[in-house]
Amino acid sequence: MNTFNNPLILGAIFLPIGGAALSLLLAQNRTYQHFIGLLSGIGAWLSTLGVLYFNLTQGPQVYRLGGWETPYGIILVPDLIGSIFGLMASTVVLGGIIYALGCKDKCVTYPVFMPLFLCMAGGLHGAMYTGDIFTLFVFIELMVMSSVVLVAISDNRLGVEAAIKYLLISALGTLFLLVGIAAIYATFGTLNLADIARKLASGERPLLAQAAAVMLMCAFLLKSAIFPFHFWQPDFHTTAPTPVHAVLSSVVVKVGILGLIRLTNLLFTAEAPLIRSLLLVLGLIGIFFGSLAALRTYDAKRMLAYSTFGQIGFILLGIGWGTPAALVGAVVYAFNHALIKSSLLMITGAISSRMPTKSAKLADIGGVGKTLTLANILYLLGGLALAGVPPLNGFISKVTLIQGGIDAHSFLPLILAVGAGLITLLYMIRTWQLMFQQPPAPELKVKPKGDQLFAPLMLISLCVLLGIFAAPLVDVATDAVTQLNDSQIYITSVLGH
Amino acid sequence: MNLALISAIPFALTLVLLVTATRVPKAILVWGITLMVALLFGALVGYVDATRSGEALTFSIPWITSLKLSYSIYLDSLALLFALLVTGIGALIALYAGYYFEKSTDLIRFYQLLLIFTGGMLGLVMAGNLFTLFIGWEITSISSFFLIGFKGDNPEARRGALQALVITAGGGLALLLGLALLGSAVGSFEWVDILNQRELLQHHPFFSAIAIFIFIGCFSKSAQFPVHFWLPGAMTAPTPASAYLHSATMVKAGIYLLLRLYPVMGDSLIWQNTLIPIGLITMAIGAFFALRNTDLKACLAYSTVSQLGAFVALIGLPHGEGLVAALVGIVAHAMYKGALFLIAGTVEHSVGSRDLSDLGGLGKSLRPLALITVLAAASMAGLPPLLGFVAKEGMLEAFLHGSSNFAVGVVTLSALLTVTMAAVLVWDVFFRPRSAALQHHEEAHGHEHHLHLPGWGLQISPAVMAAGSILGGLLLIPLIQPLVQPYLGESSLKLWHGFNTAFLLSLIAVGGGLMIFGLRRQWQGWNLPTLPRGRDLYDGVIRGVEKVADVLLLSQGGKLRYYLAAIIVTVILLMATAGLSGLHFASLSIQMNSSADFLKATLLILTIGATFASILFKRHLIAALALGVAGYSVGGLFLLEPAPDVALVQFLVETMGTVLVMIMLGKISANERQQVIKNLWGQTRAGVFRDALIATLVGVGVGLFSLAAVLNRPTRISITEWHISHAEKAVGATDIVAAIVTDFRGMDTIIEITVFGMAALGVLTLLSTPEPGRTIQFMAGQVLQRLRSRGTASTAPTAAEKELADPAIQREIAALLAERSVSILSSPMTRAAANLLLPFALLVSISHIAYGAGAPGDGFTAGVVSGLGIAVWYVVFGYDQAKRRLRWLHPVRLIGAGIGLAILNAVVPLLFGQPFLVTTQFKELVLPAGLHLTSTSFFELGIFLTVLGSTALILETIAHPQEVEAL
Repeated sequence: MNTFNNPLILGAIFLPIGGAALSLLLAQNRTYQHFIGLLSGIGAWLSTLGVLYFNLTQGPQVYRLGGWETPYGIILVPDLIGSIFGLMASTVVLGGIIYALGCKDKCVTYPVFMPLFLCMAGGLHGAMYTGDIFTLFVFIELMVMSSVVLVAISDNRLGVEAAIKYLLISALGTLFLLVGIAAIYATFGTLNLADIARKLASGERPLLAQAAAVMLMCAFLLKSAIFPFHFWQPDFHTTAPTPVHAVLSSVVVKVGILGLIRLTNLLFTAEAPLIRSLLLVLGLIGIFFGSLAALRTYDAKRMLAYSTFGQIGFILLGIGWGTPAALVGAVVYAFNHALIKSSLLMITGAISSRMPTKSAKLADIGGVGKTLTLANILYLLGGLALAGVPPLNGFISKVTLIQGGIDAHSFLPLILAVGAGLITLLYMIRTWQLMFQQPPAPELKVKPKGDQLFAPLMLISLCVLLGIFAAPLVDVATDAVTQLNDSQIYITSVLGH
Repeated sequence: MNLALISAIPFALTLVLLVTATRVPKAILVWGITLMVALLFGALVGYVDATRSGEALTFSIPWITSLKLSYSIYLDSLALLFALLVTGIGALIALYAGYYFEKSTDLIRFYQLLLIFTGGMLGLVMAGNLFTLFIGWEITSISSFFLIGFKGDNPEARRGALQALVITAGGGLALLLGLALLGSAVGSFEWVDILNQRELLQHHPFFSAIAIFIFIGCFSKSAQFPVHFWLPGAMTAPTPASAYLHSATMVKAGIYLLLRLYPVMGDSLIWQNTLIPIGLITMAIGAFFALRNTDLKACLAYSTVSQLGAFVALIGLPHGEGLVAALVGIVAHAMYKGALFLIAGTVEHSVGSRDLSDLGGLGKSLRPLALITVLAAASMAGLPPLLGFVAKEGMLEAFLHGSSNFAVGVVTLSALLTVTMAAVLVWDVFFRPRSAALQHHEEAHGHEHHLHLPGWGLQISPAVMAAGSILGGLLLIPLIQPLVQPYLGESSLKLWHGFNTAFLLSLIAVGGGLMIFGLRRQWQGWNLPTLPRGRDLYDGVIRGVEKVADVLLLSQGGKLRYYLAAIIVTVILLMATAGLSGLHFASLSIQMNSSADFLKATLLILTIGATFASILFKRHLIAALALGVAGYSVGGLFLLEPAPDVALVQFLVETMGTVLVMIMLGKISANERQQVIKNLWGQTRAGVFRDALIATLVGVGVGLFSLAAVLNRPTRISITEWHISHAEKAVGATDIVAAIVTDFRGMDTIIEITVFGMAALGVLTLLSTPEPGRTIQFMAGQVLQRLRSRGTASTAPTAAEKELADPAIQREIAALLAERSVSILSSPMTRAAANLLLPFALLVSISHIAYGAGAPGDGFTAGVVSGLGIAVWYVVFGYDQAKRRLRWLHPVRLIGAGIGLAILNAVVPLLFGQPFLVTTQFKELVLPAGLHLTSTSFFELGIFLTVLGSTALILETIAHPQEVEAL
């Protein structure tokens, strides 16, 4: 058992939150704020990278906060899957911070923007790393509250409405989570994930265990905007400021995904087949609903929000199939999707920032990108990656997922899912043609300056690299799934033998 | 040369082009690219001897081992034949393109796409791994998409490009599935392994699925019925691209894959039963539609479709009868169709049109081009001694041996129509008298300018291809035979087979074809029924999908109550079916033992009653008070439990909440509030019933849940026991709640105060950023209304601005603002009380922090108490005065400082090698009044600062008179 309390784990969470506190104290000076934001973003990213490294070399990392024995205190347990998700989150968050630095939105200049963004990041990283179910709740709350405010202050006037709707729906989700946690605590007298898992693995099923499973599942489904808990997502994400949208639609939705993986592979392993078959159905619904809605919606940002709904469906398929190969597919898909979706959103944001009205409505943005070669290439690469065209990283996701489906012998969902991939291609390429190929309307006056494209350039480069050199990610995901499939590894690294 | 390099070189060249293209003179660019591709061709020729025995050269680099992906090469005679076509034709196309494009930016873009395509196509045909093949396959689809949409300004080009991409990439998805299944059936994705596993594969349960998915992929790529229409739709591509991708190479990728799989799948029933019918239908349709078009390129495209159908049908023939014919046909077709496409491009370049009705009589002025065309068309028609003749004879022979008479009939008919097409191409473009339109054009522009004579650069490539058709036919044995040797076995290719049935059919085809050509005046006048066009079919499918999407989108109506209803109903269903299914209530007995129990019961009833009242009261103020009563009753229950810490927090939060609600209510106009009530209760009876039903179900569910929780109190060990026993020993806190909040679960607290702080920032930002000008407009509107009611202002709305400038009205606004900011509660007594209350609240806060470890109350309650003190100030003094008196209070900085202090306190132990958040007790430090100083005190202070800052911020924001009105 590894008893070393690695401070890098804290870095991922408390560098952003500490940065938020500091930038509140320096609220008058935007340059300092930006500097602090960038530094804590880089620091958090390096921390998550380090945590992943130590995971690969030393096995699951455990941090006992306050030094209390488990299961009595709070612990952070970035195991391999948690660190992969953490790295994914911090990468996109760093991209978002860099984008925000070059963003022309008014809301980005508010003194509260950076603190809120950093708090969202801290909550996000914490939710990926925590080994305590109540702390998970707390981190999710931080993430939700910060993101609600960030959306509410968006330049888009509809942001307030969307934020209030989400706040109410999310409050419901938080309630589910809290009730689930209460049920767990009432039945098992513990909040430590490993401890709960050990008690559940021993086979005892007190009255409320099932209820807790249902409640936790509903909460995670709601956080990841999975049918029928998804209604809030398109409005909430679309109205968000671009850097926030990029983080929300790509990594914040993955918190629920990690929760579902923990639910099926750590906690309720006995009930997992039932949960998985439900996830499979919901995944398919999501794939078709999301992809079709993306095809028909009226706004390029909104299209990507719906697209996330569809893409989450693909990830759910992997979790739903549940075989090792399928889970590898889900993990790889989740990681790659985060990079692709965030960069696509940033590019779309940069394009719409050049519109006189900042609109991303398909009816308005025809030909806006005609002169923007870099945006053109990046959007195209992102679109093709999302549709799973080789040699980009989306292709790797698709191949791993297909191999997972074949491995699970689940052919009908597999065929349906692969077929739905065509819709993705259709809406991405159609929008690309609209924005970059079509001649612009004569009366359209494109602003000469808009948001900087450095962040999406960085993320798309990662997409290309992870397509050509895909082996590291796939191998790490494979290791993570091996670890997931033996829940004893997690339990013993937290609790000992 | 290393095999792996061959397909990598084009990609490398693309990168080189990206950097250098604009700086290189055009001639060097053109010849450089041409020579590079030609060099690849030369390098590949070197492998002919190595592969003619049927051996395959292989090479492999691992890529993703866990997915069995590798970058491997498998070069046998089949791959080599295709690779030679790709590079050979590619070099000619590169040369031609150099003279075809007028703008150098277009040329560079074209070269980049051409090279990417060449690399992808070489990767496809030389792939040794199924995924390598697929990557090449997709690269060709994508580069084809860009080439079709090359002229992006043209909507038709964009449309054709998207249509082609959707069809080929859709097929690509099926192919991917098929290949993945194939690989998992065999257990390897390498051709080396797969091609030996005929037995295993054909008896595998996946076999049919593999075949069907691969067929879909191949058919879509090779433009087979019913998706053949994308190919004619792709003719918006620049002509060199059409010649290269859409006739000579890419569209044959599907044919290649079928040929590749023939050894392992070819003798199955599904193979023959699919390929022959589809191939024949495609062949006939293509030949027929070719004649019905007048656009030169569309004619050629349909004729290509027909040929592709012929290849598919040939590959479908049993016992490998048709393979040699297909291979020779592929080479022959690449030569003559490539040449014809390029000629079409040259003609368009010279005349400015490629519509048959605009052309004619070009033979005199374009004599060399006419000669080339005659040769290429003769090969297409299958006249001896050209390569096309060998191909056609072989095809007829193969069908005569291996298939039914019906098939032979279809093939002959198609051959016949192809002859007609060839005749039309030659005659209508070059020898027919000039059309009226063209003559008119000439007259308009003077005789010299009517023809833009093509340079040699636009003629040499088609000439080489036409020459290839002759040489291929005459030098069959040395040139073509080595490429197809493994498929021939012992026999050899012959130009002349003697007077056999095939030759007879061939004669019929030529004779009949020429006859139809001669009679075309007649049949061109026929009114044939319009057939459903593939393009309409495609549009229909897309529209259908979009309709479904529109229906789905109706569910995103934006009404929160439906969203919530859907969520709640789902949760109820899930709980009812799974969550609470196993509930059983062993024994439930209610005992009332003490007076405390009766008090509890009373409080419970009070809670329920007050909650109901808060729903039913139609006056918001009373409803809010009722809710407050319910909250206090719950606090009372906690107090009786006894849980004094929780009760204290509950009381304080309830107080704060009620105060905030009341302040807010005062800010919302009565009319608006009345409207909300009306909306709620004014809905239909069914609506009210529905809401009540959902609420009841939720209530019952939660009730059952809580009941189960109560009855299910763990008999096992809870971490709470440990917390109780360790609180004093380990933390030095006698108050367990304090120990949990600040020590055992200290991080939760840090995060929670951050959440609170962020929420407060949200309130601040939301309520203090009204749209510029909105406040003053609102105020002005109110003033105007008031003035109008007094009759001192005009009613014309257009005069509003002028009225605003009036000093009297500005005074009025100032008065109104002052009136609003002065509270009605402000009296000497309340002011004195408020003045006393705040210092007292701060004192209480200090005691909460100082004695947090031992008694109820901690940093949080301290913050709320002080916050309440400030609330009283805002209520009593009004915004302006309170703000002036509280100038020392910087809520935002307090929040930052609080969170920062909490984190700092947690981080300090790290410096001493201790874990984050470890509590340090300063035991040596003896303090008066029973105080214990521990590091937790700093934490408590941090909590206090954050909570105070947050509450103060919220109060300040919502007490602000103007901004709130503005919203």
